[in-house]
Amino acid sequence: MATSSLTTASLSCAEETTSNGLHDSVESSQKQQTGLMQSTNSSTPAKTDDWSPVLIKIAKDRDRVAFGKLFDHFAPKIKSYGMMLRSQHTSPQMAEELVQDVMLKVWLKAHCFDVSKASASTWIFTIARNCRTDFIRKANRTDTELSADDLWPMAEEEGPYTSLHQRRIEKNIHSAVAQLPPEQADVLKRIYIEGKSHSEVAAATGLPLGTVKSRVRLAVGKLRTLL
Amino acid sequence: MSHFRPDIHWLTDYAAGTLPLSQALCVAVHLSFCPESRKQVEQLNSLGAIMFSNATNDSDSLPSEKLISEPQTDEDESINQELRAKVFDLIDTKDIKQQPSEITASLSANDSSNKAELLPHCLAKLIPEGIDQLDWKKLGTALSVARLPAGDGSREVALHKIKAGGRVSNHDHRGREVTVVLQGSFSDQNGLYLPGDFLVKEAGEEHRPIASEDAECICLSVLEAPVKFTGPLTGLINPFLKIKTGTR
Repeated sequence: MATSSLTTASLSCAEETTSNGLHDSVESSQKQQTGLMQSTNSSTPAKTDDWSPVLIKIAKDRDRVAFGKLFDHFAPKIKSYGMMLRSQHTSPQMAEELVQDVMLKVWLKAHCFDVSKASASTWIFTIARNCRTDFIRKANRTDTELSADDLWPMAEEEGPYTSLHQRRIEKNIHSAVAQLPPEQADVLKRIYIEGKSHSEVAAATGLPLGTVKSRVRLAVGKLRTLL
Repeated sequence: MSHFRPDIHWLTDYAAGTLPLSQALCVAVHLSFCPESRKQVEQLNSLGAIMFSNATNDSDSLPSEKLISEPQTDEDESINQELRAKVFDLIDTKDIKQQPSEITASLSANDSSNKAELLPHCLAKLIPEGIDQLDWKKLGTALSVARLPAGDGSREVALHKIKAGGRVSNHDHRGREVTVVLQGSFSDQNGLYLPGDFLVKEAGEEHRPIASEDAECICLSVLEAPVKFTGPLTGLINPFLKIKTGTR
C-alpha cells in the first residue's frame, strides 16, 4: 500500500532536482549545516526546530542513527496526527500506516529538504499532511491522476527567507501560538489537526460560521503582525 | 501579485489540507501565479507545523496548554518497536531500488514538451495533451467547456473558454463556483480578472462575464451545484442540469 504513494512522491521530488540540482542542494546543505551546528551545539535538539541538522545529516550521510532519533521524535506526533483526524477511515492501523508512509518519505526525500525554505518540522508536517490527504483520497477510491504532492507542492522554488530569518519567524509563531486565547487555538487545532473545514468546525462546535471565521482571522492576523 | 486572491480562510483550509481536492487545485493554480499568496501559505504551513508538533491524542486539552508543558514522556510510548523495525527494513530495501529510477523518470517526464508545459504543473497533469486536445463542447456562440477528470463526485471541474470579446449569458449560481483565470482576461460588474486571479461566486450571485477584446479567455472553474442560466436561449444552452463528473 505504501508503494504507489511513494513512487509519486519520489517523482515529484526528482522533478524539482535534476541530477545537477541534486548535487547543488547537497553542497548548500553542508553549508547550512555548519551554520546551524554552531548555533545549536547539540545533535539532539529538544525544542521547536533544530531538527534541521539531523535531517541534513540523514540526507548527506544516509545516517541510520540520526534517522532513528528523528523517528523517535516524530513518529508519535505523526501517529497522533493520524488518530486525531475526524474521519470514518481513522483507525490505529491507518495511523500506523501513516507513520510508515511519512517516515519512509522523509528518508527518501531528505535530499530535497532545504533549510532556507522551511524548518524540518514544517517540512515533515507538509509530508504528513500530504500523506494523510492521499490516504483519505484512496480510502474514498477517488479516481484522479492528482496526488496530494501535485496540489500541495513541498517547497517553493524561490525561498523568500534566509534560513536565519525563517527560523526567527518560526520561533515568533511558536510563542505567538502559545499566547493565543484558548478559543482561537481550539479552532486552529480543529482545522489543522482534526482536518475540518471552517463550516465543519461550525457544525461540530455549534458556533456560527461567522464566529469560526473571525477566530481564524484574529489568530492568523495576530501571527502575521509578528512576521 | 494577483489582485483577486483567496482570502485567509481559503488559504488556511488549503494549508491544513481540508479543502476538497478540486478546490485545492484552484488554490494551487492561483499559487503558481502569485508570490504573495505563496508567502502566506508558507507562514500557514509553519503554523500547521506548530499545531502538529503540539498535537497529542488527548482531545480535551487545548494546544495552547500543550505548549506550556512541552511533551517529554510521550516520545516513545505509543510507537511499538515492531513498527520501528518495519520502517527500518523498508528504508533498506527502498533506498537501493528507488533512487536511480527517480532520476530517469523525471527526465522522461520533462520530455513531454508542448502545450502542457505552459500550464501550472498540477493542471498539466490533468491535461497531458494540452488544452487544444480537450473535448471542448460549445455552449453557445462565445462559450465552450471541457470537463476535467479531477475525481470529485460532488463538483464539476472544468475549463471554460470565452472567445475574444465574447459575452457569456447572464447566469446565477445555485452553488458556489470557484474560478481561476489561466489565460487572457475577462470582466464582470466587479472588475477585470487577469491570469492567476481567483474568484468565488456564492450561490445566488449573478454575473455576466465578458472576455477582453484582444484574446480568448480560459479559466478553470469548480462548481458545487448546477448553474442556472437566466438570459434568453436558456433552453438551448443550459448544460448544467446535472453535474457530470469527468471520466477518462
